[in-house]
Amino acid sequence: MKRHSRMRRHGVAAVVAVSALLLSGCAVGGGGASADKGAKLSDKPVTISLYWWGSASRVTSTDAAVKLFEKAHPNVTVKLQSTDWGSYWDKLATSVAGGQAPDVMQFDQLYVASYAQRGALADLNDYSKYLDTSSLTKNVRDTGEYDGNLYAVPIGLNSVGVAVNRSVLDKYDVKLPDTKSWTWDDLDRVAKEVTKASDGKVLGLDPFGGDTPSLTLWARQRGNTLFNQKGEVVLKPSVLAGYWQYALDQIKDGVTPSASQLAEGASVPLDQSDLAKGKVAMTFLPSNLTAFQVAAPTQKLDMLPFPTTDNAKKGWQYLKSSMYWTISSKSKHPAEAAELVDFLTTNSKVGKLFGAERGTPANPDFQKVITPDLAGSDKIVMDYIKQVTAEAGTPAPITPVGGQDADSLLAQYWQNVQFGKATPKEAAVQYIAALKKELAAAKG
Amino acid sequence: MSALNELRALKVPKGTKRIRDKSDTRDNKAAAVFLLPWLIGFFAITLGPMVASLYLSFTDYNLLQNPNFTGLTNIERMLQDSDLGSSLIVTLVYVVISVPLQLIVALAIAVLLDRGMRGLSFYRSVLYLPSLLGGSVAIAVLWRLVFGGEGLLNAFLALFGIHGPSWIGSPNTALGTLIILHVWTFGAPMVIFLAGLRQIPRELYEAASTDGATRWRQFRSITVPMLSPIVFFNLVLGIIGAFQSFTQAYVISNGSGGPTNSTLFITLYLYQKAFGSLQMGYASAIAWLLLLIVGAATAINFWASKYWVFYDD
Amino acid sequence: MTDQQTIQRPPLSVPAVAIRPARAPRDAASRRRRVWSVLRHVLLIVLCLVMLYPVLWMVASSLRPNGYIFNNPSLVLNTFEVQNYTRGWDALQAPFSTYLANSAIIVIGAILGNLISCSLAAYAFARLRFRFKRLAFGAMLVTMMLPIQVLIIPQYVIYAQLGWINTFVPLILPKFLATDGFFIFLMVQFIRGIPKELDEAARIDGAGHARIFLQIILPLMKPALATAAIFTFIWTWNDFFSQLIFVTAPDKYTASVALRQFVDPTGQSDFGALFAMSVVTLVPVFLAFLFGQRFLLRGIATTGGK
Repeated sequence: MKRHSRMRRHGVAAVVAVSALLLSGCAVGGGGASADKGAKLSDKPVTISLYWWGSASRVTSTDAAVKLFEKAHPNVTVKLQSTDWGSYWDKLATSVAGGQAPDVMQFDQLYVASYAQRGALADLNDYSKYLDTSSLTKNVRDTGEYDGNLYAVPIGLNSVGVAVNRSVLDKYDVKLPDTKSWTWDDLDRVAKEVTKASDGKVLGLDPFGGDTPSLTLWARQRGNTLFNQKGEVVLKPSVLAGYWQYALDQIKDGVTPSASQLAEGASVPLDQSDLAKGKVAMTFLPSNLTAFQVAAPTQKLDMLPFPTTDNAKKGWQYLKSSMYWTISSKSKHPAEAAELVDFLTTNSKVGKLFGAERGTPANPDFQKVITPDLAGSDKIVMDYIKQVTAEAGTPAPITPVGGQDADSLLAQYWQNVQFGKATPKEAAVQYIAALKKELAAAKG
Repeated sequence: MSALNELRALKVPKGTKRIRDKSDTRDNKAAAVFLLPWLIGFFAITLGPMVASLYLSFTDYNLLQNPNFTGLTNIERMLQDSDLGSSLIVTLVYVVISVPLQLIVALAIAVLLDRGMRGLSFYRSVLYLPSLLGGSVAIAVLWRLVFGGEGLLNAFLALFGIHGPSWIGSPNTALGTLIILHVWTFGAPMVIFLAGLRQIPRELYEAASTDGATRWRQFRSITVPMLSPIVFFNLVLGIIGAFQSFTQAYVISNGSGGPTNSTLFITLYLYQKAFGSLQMGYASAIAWLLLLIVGAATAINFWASKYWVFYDD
Repeated sequence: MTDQQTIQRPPLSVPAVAIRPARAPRDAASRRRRVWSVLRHVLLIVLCLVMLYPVLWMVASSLRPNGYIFNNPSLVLNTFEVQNYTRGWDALQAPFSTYLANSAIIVIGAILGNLISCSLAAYAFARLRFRFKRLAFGAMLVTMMLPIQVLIIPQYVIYAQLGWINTFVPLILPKFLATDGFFIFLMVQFIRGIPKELDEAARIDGAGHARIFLQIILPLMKPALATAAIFTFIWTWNDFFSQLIFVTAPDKYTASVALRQFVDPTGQSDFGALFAMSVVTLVPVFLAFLFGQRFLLRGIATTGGK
């Protein structure tokens, strides 16, 4: 017995010592001193790291762009790190927690607020000497702001629309109405016609229901939105219920894949989706049409505007930033990092290299540079973005702190509706409550 | 007395202690030498992170800022978390069905493959192949090809006029396809069984044969008892592993655990919370709940093992 | 099969008269055996086809052009797209051979580490008596029960403070410190199957634990060592999460991490190249298994003497 308790005392002491060590380590990641505001360029050799996500197709252009930067800044070496989207955020969170954050990071609007509010991102206004964002329009630039500070520089733009397979429409002789301002009823009618004309071989539409961008547009047409500028959930349950009811009716009408087929398709990469495989004629898409076109080289794909209602509020359209560049607040060389971001977002050679691969460029100069070379789906998308730009209102606020689950929760409750586990109204109330809880949990 | 017996005898009456103490001292030094790497690893690498995660489970740690101690908040939250509840049920169903099923298949095939037969190494390698694929992206594609709405299984059923659903996309059958996937990758326990079968002295079978024992009888009275420590090993580790199943569900549902949370394993859920929602504190609390459950299951296993596991020593 | 029949053959000294009546049932028995043997092969071949299909399909897909891969469950090839291999090999920052080499270094380190450290620990748990043995064994089991997802951050913090991020040290060193409870437990179970009389005989001859371990136990636990080596190879080769987290420079990526970069769920993916490189990555593991399983066989003869 005696020996036992002695052991226990030793054990406890060791455990306390180890955990103290670790927790001091965990602290490396958060809070702490902010970067030196008067950061200066170094004249000694400097190494900075650039972290981005994407598939192999993005490797060459990123490599080449960084080589150009190194040529222009001979004392700076850029170490590239890259992973796929799914791994990206796991690795980033871990490296930030361990005090090893990369200097420059590609970012998604889902995480900008969460990282910025918790002190992981540098306020780019501090480095305006090296980083010029004046070429961006105010609306676009604002999508990189949180709490009045600029934390992220938009790289590309997108906006949800309807991708349509014209080859299928032609084959079954289905005519589109004037889609400039087509309505939800129009969309429904086309979907039904395709389904009927093809005898169900090709379904009309892949419905929406589980993605916040399309929900936000739907809500904005009805004078509502998902998050307000203060980062609160202001979505009305009735609006969400209506959004789901619309899609649910289409599923019940048989003009879309069934609930279980949709669930199966929810996890596939874009190029295995029903549109790319010619199984449906239309789908909602954040204007990244090229990925589909590559996967379905024989189909003639086109991009149509997001349908609307007759009495929709003007300016419901908006441009969403497809991705951003950010700088770590812990960067040892913020000035050089800022120069790199500047180079990547303003140097026209980079604009040419990147093309539309990271989305239609946010920088209007880049758009001009690449327009002459655009063809096919890239051109369709660019035209679409230009059209939206002309009609767009103030952009929807970026996802607030703790709201990263907004999409996955929406998809989850949408499935409950599809499989009859809840009515649209019940699920809408549950979703909004769940999302509010997440935001509250993040505030602590 | 060996490790397992001692572990089993955790509640052995105090009286036996003195005898053991005496012999204990005999090997202490040797044990320290043999266990040195493990001791260093345990205290320097394993224990620290475990204790840290235990501490973090009482905090609001969000990966980006210092953790704040929040007392029992996470535990209160777990009690009200219906997603956690459903993920526990999903995980339990998965463990209870897939572990025994996989072991039975693995054992049956190992016995089939044991003892001189032509093409043994070929069969063994081919049967191990699925386990080599592990959680690769190819598996996800393949699984849709087989169990999707227009998959091979439904094409087969159509021959009999049955119109099958998307087995992956239906909440009632999605977990079933994951169980099949688990059983299908029976390579690891099979190899361990085979290695165990190798250790059974051949003479036992020879003696039994001369006595006229049937194959089934030989299996019952020689193979099963002699192999029971290995069966026990596979069972314990199979359960520990299945409770922590992650990759397959992650790859096939693309991390969502859908449809309608029907494949939301507890590790997938805590992963979502940790890295998706940046709620590492809460995720750590869930992980420790999982540890308690797996620990209880393992303890029951060890307790039950004295009724069926046969040790020679 | 054959050795069984040899054994069952009646001794030569059986009187001639006895052979005749005994003959009929023996023929029936051997016919039954032959039928059983054929059945067994048929069963196994069917099973093998089910098992082989996915791999064959993967190989077939790696030879198809992009856009013709999905919705094509057949194994018949109309085209022979070798470009997937050439393109995939050079698609990422470094040639794919770099990733394979990195994986190989980690795998070799992990195998050595696991074999040495786990067998030492297993010997102690299976054969030695010492204080806190129950506690230590229980602790070892408990270390396997926490999912990596919550341990990775504290581990990362430790390794970051030691300056080991972006090296292979965090992936290899722990293996030399017996952190893989699975293999300790596995080897414990196997050592316990080795008759204790052998140790005791050696001890009477004056052998210490070091000699008993090296000269008696290790040679007798070859199947377990082979199993551990094979599993370490496969699991380390396929491991993704820790390799992803601890290594940052693309030229230090392992094959399993590199493979993920062929697919981007939101953009353009290159499935042809993915399958091609998956096949390339599968070859070393499969060869390792083919090679390693010979050692599983070697154990047979040695366990006699009981």
